[in-house]
Amino acid sequence: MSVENVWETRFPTPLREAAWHAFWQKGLPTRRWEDWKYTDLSRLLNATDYVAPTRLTNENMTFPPFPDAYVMVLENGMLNMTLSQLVGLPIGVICQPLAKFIEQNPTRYQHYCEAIDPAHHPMATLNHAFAEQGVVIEIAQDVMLNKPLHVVYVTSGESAQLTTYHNLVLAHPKSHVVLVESAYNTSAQPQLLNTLTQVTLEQGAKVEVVMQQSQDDHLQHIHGLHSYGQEYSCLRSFHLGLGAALGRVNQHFHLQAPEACCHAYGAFHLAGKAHLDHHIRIEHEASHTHSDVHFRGLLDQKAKGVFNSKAIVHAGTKAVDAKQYNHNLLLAKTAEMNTKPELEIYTDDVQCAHGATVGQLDKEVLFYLQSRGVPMDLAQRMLMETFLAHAFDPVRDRPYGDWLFQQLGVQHDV
Amino acid sequence: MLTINNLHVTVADKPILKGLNLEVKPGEVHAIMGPNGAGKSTLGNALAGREGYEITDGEVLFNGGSILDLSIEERAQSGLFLAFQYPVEIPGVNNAYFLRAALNARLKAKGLEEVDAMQFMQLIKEKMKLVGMDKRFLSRELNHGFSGGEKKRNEVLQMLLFEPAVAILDETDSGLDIDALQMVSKGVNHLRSPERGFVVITHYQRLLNYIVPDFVHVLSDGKIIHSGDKTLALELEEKGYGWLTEGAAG
Repeated sequence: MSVENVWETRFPTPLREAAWHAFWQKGLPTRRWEDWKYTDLSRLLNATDYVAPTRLTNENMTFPPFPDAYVMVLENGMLNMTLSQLVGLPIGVICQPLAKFIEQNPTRYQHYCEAIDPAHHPMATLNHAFAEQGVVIEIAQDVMLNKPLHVVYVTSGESAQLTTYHNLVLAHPKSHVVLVESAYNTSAQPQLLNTLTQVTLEQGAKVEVVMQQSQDDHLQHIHGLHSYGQEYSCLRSFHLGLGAALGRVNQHFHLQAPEACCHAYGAFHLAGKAHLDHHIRIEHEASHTHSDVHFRGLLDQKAKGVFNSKAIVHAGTKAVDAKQYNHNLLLAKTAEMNTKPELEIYTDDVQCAHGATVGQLDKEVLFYLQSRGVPMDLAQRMLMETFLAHAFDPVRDRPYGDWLFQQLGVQHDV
Repeated sequence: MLTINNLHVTVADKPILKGLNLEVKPGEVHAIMGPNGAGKSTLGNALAGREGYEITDGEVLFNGGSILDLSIEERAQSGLFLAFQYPVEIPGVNNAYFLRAALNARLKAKGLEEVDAMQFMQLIKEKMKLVGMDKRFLSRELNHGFSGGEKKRNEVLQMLLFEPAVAILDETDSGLDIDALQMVSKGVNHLRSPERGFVVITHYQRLLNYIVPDFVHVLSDGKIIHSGDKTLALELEEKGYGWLTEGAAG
């Protein structure tokens, strides 16, 4: 089996050994698992002979730029130092490769790994077994990172690789950081990218995590985002899915103290045979916690989408509010969307709302626009843009808002 | 300029228009009146090319060529304009953005230079004055939350902006108060010219006091059964359609 082949070539540490064994308690997810009902990862992983990343980096490699950011480029399992740019980091911000962090802080690292339950997050556990590289960013109290940190994952070369990165964002009280992750592939072989970002937010910290997954027929991306929020902390995430061959979004947010909040937003535009499965959990573990989930998607051709988001309001909490929304448009009869926003409530004093829609472009509206001389394709793009734009409303004023929206490619010039 | 010969249109397998003939020459205003269910709105929709309106026989010539093989937008770009009875609301699409997109699509189709935002604003401001709309309309979402009168004014505004060769007004007067009716009529009259034709579909003679037609036709059961000058509208107001439809049936 390919995953085992990769394991054989890695350097095992006690921590990785433990994760590896924990992973095999349940094994690879199959469709029999409720959380993996629509995504047959076991079959996919067994169908390809993945190898460990080649660790080859290319100084001349290019990727679509993100305006004005610190950059860390992770290519084929290695940090590409030539393309990374961290000059000017403010005092109080430490940004370092994961390998260095593990070496210096083995106990702390173990603590982060143990925070994730292997039974619920097999791919995060597999990440802990394999991860040798990634980015660790630690922001001291009251420090604000003056521009986003852009972490770019690049896969290239002639072999099918299983590449794993583990990032940690450690935000001390009242600090603020924006992390933008992008995944690009230039290889014509299947590339399984398993990334995991764990975020701890201390009192009053603000962390924004943006994940941009590019359109690619060979990219298989398992994206993990786990957060732990203390009093008055705020986590804001945005996941943009542009149509990887396989995308899986595993987000798990813990609101652990009063007035912690989390906003999970996202948009996707899928075509071809792209498959994108969102799996989001929000744990309201304390009173006065707030969450808001809003994803919008367009699905064309034979694309398949899954949205499963659940807010869990724990027993004994009060004054919790949770919203869960997902809206989709199918642009072709062969496209498919499975959506299920859920609320699981074990207390009385809550304000919760959820809703989902799956529709089509409105023919009456298209006719109206065409009857004014607007060509069909432009009329469709106008409506697609309008539909998706709502998902971006909450991040319009953010440094990545316009950039993200432009990546969609549905905009048009008048 | 617009010639409709023996037009037969079926909607959901039901014949609605059953051999309609109409000739609109440049500068003429034709009013089409008729009882409910006669096929008045079907005529506008079929000419605009709406899906589900199947042309089973006949021809429609516009400036000498058939329009029946043209797409909806090609018909519009060639100079045919349909003002809707019920303009749709399009939340999220900014009115100014839509108007400029539509105007530029038409200019582009004609091989003319497109207008930039500045040029557009100058152009649209003049037109808005004519229909009594203030500039706040431009920043609103297209027809979204507009009152009935505002929607119709927005239709006439588009007509003023696009300057079509032939405009078909489908019950543009329905749901309008007297002020709005006068404002809408003012916009239409502003566009009347020796080069432009109008087809005004209406239930009521009242609109024709403001937009005075050259011809009035009675559409009943899918055909024009009677035509006359503007005095026919007054006669219809007085006597109803019975005397004509019974005659046609007999």
